[in-house]
Amino acid sequence: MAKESLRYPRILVYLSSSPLLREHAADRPWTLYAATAIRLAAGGRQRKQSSSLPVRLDTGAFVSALPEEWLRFLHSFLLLDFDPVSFGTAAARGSGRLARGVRTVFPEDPDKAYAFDWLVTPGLNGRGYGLLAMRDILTYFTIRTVGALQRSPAGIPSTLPVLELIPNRE
Amino acid sequence: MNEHTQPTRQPRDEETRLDRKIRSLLGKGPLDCRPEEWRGLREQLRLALLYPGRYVAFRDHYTGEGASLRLMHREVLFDSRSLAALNKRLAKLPEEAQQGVQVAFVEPDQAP
Repeated sequence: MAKESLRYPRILVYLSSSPLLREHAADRPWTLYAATAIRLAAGGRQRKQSSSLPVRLDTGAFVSALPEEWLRFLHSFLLLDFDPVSFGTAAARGSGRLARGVRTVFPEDPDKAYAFDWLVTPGLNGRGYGLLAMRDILTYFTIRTVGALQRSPAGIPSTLPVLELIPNRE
Repeated sequence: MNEHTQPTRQPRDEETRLDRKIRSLLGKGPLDCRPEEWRGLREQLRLALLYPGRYVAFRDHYTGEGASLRLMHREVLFDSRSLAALNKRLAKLPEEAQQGVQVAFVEPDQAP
């Protein structure tokens, strides 16, 4: 297999459908989203880590968030505030409970944990993924775009960049 | 095997199914693109076309550096309708084999 040049945690860029854009014969009838996977890590000297969790980068999220339905396998990694937090987004209002400073690891560097704040909310139930807020990413990383979007003759990108997360102060 | 976890299909079947779905979606085949473009299209579309509505564990293989970086292959390890079932299979891999494995949820209607 070819040599790999990526060394750090990464956020992948994916193609997604846009029936609306296709219907309106847009020049680019597709959209993109950025996502990665994380695990939560137990504190202290334990090396125990949670299941792998898909999360999408959401530049509008005021805080990173996880579906409440995942609590059944995450409860031992999250110390939730007793009082709920209410919030509003561009699309809706919601509420959840905050867990602060949760040790969070990326699959490419499972030995290094970063303290993220996670809001656990029923508003994400059924979505299949959590949300990663920019405040958590940029606190610890500088984002470097590696690769570039290239369109194929079919009009759809045949190459997409990867967002590499370079740890700050390295 | 967990009842929610899909048995892995034969790789050749998957590759044929992917090619067929791309042709159906875009009306184009490998002869309409340069080989590296067709390869790129296949890998970018692999999850959206083959695994709608499912969680997928995969490992990416790249070539090139900097602006020339290209995804060569998106190697799917497991897929499942359930995140818990997918993780149960992932946990059976040795720790070092789990490093770098990404997990994604593919929404049901993601085909571009």
